[in-house]
Amino acid sequence: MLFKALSAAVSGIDANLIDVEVDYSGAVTDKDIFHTVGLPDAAVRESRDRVRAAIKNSGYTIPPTFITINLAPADLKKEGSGFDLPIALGILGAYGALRVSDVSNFSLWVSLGLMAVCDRFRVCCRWRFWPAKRRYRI
Amino acid sequence: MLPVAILAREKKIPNLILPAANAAEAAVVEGVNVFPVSSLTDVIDLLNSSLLGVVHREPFRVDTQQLLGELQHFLVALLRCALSRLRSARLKLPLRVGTTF
Repeated sequence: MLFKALSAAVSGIDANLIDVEVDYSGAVTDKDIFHTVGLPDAAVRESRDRVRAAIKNSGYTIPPTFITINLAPADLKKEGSGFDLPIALGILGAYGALRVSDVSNFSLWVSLGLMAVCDRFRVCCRWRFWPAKRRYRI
Repeated sequence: MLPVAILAREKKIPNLILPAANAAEAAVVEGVNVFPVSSLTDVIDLLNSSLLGVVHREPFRVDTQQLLGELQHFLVALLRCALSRLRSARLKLPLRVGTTF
């Protein structure tokens, strides 16, 4: 079954919309085999381990099978760990753990820890305002 | 998070799910509902509760007027600093280094 979620790839100060499509084959294997396609970098490829642990620690069990993750458009480089949540949701949605079948009005950009707790990102735009109560020194 | 929020607004995606620690940065962008989440189960609850496209949760908001007010305060302070320097230069007063205002 196929499930699609939306995410974004940030390069510099530009962002591009990314479709995260997850499909699984019904064939039962002795361990789950992930294929991530669509120019993922090492952080995106590593997300399979975070996602597997996060899903398990959220109380879901997924039977081991072939899971294909496509990050479209395929010619754009995907960097960072923001694809963890769309991949996790795609897997859960493909297995039918979600009650919704269409999440196309949500954009997701969340990194997951092993305990399924969302990690924070470093701030990519360092725009700060001075605090209002500060006394400025000449 | 700012580029992601701007992209969501451009592409007419009404909702954006972000880590709770980063929500304030994206919430500055108007026209996008930012939903801070803290865990995977939190996201699943949020999505399952929005069956007909309506999210039953208040989006995160940031008071942009207050932020602009702070900026205005900073600019006024800078102007006063420059004026006092100019006055002390014209009156040949010794420059008071380290004074606060």
